[in-house]
Amino acid sequence: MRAPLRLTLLILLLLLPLHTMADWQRIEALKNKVGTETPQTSGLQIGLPLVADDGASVPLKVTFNGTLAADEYISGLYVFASQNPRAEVIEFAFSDAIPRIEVSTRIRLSETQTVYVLAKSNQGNLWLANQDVRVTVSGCLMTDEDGTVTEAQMSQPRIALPRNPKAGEAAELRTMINHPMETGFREDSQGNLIPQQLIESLQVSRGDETLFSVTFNTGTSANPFVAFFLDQFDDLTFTWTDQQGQQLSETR
Amino acid sequence: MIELFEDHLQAVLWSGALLGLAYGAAAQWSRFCLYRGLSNRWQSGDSIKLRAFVLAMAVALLSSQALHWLFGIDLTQTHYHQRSPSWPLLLGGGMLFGYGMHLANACGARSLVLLGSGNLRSLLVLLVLGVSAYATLSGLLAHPRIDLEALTQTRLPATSIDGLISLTGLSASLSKTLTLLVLAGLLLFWALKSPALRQSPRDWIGASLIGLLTAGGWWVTGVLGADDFDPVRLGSLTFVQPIGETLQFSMLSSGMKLSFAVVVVLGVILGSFVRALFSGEFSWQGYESPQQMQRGILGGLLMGIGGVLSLGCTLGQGISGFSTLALSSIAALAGILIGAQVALWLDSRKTTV
Repeated sequence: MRAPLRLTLLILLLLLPLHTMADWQRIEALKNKVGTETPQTSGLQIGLPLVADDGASVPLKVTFNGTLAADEYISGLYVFASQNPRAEVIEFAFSDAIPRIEVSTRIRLSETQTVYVLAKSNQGNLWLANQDVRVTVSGCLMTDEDGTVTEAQMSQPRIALPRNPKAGEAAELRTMINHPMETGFREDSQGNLIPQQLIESLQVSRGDETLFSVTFNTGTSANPFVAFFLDQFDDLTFTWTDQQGQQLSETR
Repeated sequence: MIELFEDHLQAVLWSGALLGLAYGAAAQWSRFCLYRGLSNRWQSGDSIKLRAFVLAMAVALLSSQALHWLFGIDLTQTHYHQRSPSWPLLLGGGMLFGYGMHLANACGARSLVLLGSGNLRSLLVLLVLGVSAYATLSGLLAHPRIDLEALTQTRLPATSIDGLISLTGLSASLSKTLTLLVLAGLLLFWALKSPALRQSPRDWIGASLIGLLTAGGWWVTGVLGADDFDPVRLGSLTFVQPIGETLQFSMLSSGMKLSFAVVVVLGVILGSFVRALFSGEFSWQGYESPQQMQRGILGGLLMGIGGVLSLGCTLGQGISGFSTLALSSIAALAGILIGAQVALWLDSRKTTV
């Protein structure tokens, strides 16, 4: 290889990280959240499969283990998918009562793309992480998104507390509720647009204090699943609210 | 039982591996093979192997339906029960599969068993089969497949044989009982009518075991795998997509989760290997001529493509799908039989001319 060619290649290689770092700025919603801050890039981990053969339900896990100041805690996590019709996928809001930042859910990815997660602390510090997912056309021939319209009513709320909960020891809680999470982008078999029907939020509270809340969006899979960590498991109220303002509450 | 494991997924994976081991050993011991059954019957009129396959169908049907009755496993939730299937693709895919099975001298499941006993010819068949299955499922051929499917789909009033019968006004439970009695009765009668099969315990015990293992698959995924939050997809023994998934897993395991289908495939190879080793039947074998190799490659290709179009192979549609009474299984199995018969007929013309 001749020297000028080698030099050009080297420069291109050096430019590569710059190019990928700038990619997230193309997502308007994410750019607005970041503002003029510079997010840190280590400390936030995304767990996603490399290849998803069912883009309607891709398991996502986000873990934070970065360093925080003495009275600093992570107050929000925001998930974005660069190529979805709407970039906003799901948002989590934490109070300082959450012992560990590790949440799991299932998301929709319309095509092969990059998933971004932004974490924000109560002092305004930011962390950003991203991961690529290759989405293939449906591997299984039967999907739940085949043009049939299911009734958009919340039903069958499920809450699983940890098997042997001990106060003071962080353990995972899982929640799920049945709902089609109609995006408003889909057509029925006659070609008419199916109106949007979403569950807007899940709120977990003890008495008047909100411990944890989730805002769902079009990128959240049908029958929203959320798992998170707590270390006190008494007097918990779980409230799901849909776009019509209807609420469904469960107490544990 | 589930307390033995960390969670239900672990339980499903370990039981799946055991199920695969048992299938591998049973099929290696009994030389269970639909293609061998068809070609023996065609060439020498010996129908033991074919009757053994039919016996496995009957046992799988009865035991799977018993599981449905005992545990309420909803077998209509499987992908064999298509609301809008494409008949031409089911039948045509089955025919490609049947023809490929003739070229490669064994179906996908049999190739796994043969590989375990040292047959390296089937390694090539399996590699080609796995890659072409995924090419059809999500790769180069995926879009043509989806377009063809959309063109040829027909919406059905029912997805199962008993569902179709209950359209005449019979109650659902009555039509199910009737279907079961008639189908299982006919199959058992034809299989066991032959004294040769009755006197060959290797064949009838092997076939019955394989039938029961199919029901075992429904139990593992449907009962052990049941979970409010993360249910395992209902499935049983099937060997086209899983062979492809096993290849994919070997290449992408750092970003993929181990699944029931993959552990079954690995279990079958290991089970057959162990049984072949202990019985002294293990021996290395390879291709003897480039022509034989060409047939193997083409056979694997046709089985991979055909198996995806018909939603399953001899085991997947012929036994597992059939045990759920799915209409799509009947079409696919008919396609496989036609494809293999045509291949045998063409072959016999070639040799006599």
